[in-house]
Amino acid sequence: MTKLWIAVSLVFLCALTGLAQSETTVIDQSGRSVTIPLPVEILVSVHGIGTYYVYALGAGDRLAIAYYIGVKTLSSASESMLRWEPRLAEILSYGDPNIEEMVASGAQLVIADGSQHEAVAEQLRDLGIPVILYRAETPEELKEAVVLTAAFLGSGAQAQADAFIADYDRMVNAIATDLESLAENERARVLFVGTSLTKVISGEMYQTHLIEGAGGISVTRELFGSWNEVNLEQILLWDPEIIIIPPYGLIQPADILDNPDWQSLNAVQNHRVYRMPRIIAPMDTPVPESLLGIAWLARTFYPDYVSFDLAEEIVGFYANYYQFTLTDEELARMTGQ
Amino acid sequence: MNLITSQLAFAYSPEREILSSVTLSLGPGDVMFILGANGTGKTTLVECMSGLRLPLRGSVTIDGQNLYQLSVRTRAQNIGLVPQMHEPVFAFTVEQTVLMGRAPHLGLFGRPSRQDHHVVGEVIEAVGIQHLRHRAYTKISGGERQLALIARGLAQGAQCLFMDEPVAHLDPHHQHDVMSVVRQLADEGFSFVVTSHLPNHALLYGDWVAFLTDGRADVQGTPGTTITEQTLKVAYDMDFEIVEGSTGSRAVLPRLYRNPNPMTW
Amino acid sequence: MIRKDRSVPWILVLLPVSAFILALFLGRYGIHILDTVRVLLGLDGPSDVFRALILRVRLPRVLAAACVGANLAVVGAAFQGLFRNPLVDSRILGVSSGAAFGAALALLFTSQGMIVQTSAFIFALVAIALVMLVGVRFGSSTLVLVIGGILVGALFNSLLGLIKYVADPLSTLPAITYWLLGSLNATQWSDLPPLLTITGVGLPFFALLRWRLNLLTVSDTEAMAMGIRVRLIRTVIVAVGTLLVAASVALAGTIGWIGLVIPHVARVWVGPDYGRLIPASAALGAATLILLDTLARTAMPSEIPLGVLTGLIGVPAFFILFLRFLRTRGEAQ
Repeated sequence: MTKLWIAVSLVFLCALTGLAQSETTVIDQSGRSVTIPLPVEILVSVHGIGTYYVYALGAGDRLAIAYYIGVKTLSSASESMLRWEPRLAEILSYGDPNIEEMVASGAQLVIADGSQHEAVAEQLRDLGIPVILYRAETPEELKEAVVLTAAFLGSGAQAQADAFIADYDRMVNAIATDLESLAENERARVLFVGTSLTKVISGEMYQTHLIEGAGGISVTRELFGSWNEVNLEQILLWDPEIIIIPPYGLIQPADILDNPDWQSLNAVQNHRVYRMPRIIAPMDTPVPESLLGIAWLARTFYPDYVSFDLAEEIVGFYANYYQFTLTDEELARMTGQ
Repeated sequence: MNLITSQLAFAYSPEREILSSVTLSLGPGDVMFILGANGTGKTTLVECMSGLRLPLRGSVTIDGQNLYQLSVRTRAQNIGLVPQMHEPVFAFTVEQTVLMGRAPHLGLFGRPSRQDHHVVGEVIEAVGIQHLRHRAYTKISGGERQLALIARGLAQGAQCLFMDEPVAHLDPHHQHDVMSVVRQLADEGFSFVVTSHLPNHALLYGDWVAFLTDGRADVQGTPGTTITEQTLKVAYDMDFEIVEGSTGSRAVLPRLYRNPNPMTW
Repeated sequence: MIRKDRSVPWILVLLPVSAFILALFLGRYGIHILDTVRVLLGLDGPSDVFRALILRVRLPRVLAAACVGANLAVVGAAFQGLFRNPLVDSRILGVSSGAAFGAALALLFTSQGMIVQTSAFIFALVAIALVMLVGVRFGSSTLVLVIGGILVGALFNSLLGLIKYVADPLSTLPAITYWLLGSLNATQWSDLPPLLTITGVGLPFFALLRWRLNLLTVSDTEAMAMGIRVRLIRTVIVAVGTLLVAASVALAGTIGWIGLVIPHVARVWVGPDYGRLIPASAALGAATLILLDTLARTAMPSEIPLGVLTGLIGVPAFFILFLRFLRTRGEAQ
């Protein structure tokens, strides 16, 4: 009888270890092949953008330490964020990744920024912790990143990822259809400024893709690199019809509308200067919300042409992907109504 | 101009008194040599006597007036300093260099006038370097540079020039060039205080010599009477012999006890 | 090589003035020459946009470039004499580092230009005050001042590093980086009063003092023997020079090479006599920075940081001067 028990226990143990030994191999966005033991229950994200992929795929509760783009300390987190993630105080972090803290948290996987965390990743791999490096700078890469994230988060995540990509494509196609009748020269000419009045995006930045996805033309599409400094003469030369201010930084529409030197601009004369709203993540960065970013931009550019209901899209997005219900005030802020 | 130094004392720190009591007297046309080994305080003495340092005790008067009570400007109009070496960073011309000597006659915001340029022309001629007037200071010989600095001192209006080992870096020809100009200017009434390591120069060009030892200048007088084998031995801790040249002038030679040429012994 | 021709003084005025006028005609937004002339003469005709661009965008900026260029060049020339070192830039005493720290500190909390400039100016003065303290304690010889400047500069650079670390990488950090590269973009009339006032006091001061500066190039002992109160005059020159540099850097950010190279070019032109060197440096400095700033704002759609341009021009210029120096040194020996 004891022999039978021993045999059964051994088989059981083997089965268990067999289960525990299940793993998956993915290629991250730095081209590296990463083998990840599954399931991943404890996750650390030092990539302020990658964190949101995890949330969008329903695995936010697995984060032990997380960076959030644009939020360094609790005091800079909005009320909405605090309501959305009650554990924020516990898991929020920023700055140079602290290896020891990550190990202490019991992380089974770390997601990081491919453009700055190579060295940190190296160290983590030496310690036996797999690292996924992200580098999403275009909508295509965003989708890839979401799919990549789903690959190690389990089958529930896979479904979410597919849904997200479908939603994204649906939105972009809907906009394209709505704007079919518009000729090239009727497209909105848009200037996207930065955290100062003379800083603008380049053609290589993510925001340019958003503007184009929303059917607009970025007047600064020929510039390259990161944020570009330009002078007022150049802005007057471009004479944009619409000016968009990012959801971060200190610039408000009044800073432009009331500025005597900017009065002659088309956008100022028609009062078409808008600041992007923000509830959780900034919509102009390569996070899942950028889907709403395109929608919001399209509605701002062509209020008479778009056929989708922005409010619906926003409510649906936050419900499906962030399990978050907006208050009336938050919704009003997002839709600008 | 009469410059009288009376019981001058100076110390860099309480334990180290460099000069304990130095008394010297200089009249117009005098060339005074100050001899002494390294570290005996020759440079310090010159700095005190020219008003650049305040002594611990004692006084310096020029024509009866206390040197240290004169304004910086007035002092500079009477006393000049010719340094041992002047390494210029920028290539000023000789004329521009000498022109700087007019500073004590110009206010803070002043600029040289025609009169100042005239004076510069005169002193440049006085030392005999008019042919170098527009040459860059960096492109003339060491001897010519010293002459330019003497001219600069004269441009200040100085009646008395202090020279700290002025010919130390020069070859014999240029040494003579410079010292003969000094002699010539002395004959015109200017006085000079020259620190030197060359007793022979004191014999050749000096009117008065003082040995600086142990912070005092007790051994002083005319070169002929003051520079003897005994005083030289005390000053430099070495044996010397005085020899006479064919023209009657005397020279100092170190006494060597080693025979350089075995054939003549 | 000293040029004694009468034409030199005329060129001194002509050069910066023509650069100034030329700069007003140039810009990304093409404005016809005649329209520009009409605006400058206050005549009717040009549109409000043209008027605004020339009088409110170009004019204050070009004026600022002239002042900054002249200030940095004159102080560079003066400091080269003061420290008896031809390799000295106007930023030797840590003034620039203090200003950079001040600007970065302000940028952490606001993007308002006036506050950033004031903070930069204040900390530039703090830096020099610290250097002076070192001088008071250890004797204001040139060596002590230089070492003091190095230490204070290093201190502020470290503090700057700390600020960069805590700065928000999305908005603040790029703003700081950009400030450090130097730029006169978005200069408004309201930015000019402090700069104009300080320039209006400092430059005439150096102009009046210019011949006396020659005397600082000799050793302290020689200068004292010629009746110069060396320590006093050195302190005053450092103080006024620092004010000029602080005001310039507070507005334009850290711009290098002007204080180092322009005096050397001026020396090739008029010789080392400060009586001519100071005006020549001022004229050349103003003209050069006006031209470089015009390039910065017209060559490409986006602004080229001014500090980058001065470096790109300054390094080869200095190299050529250096070769020349070696050649003349070789001839003398």
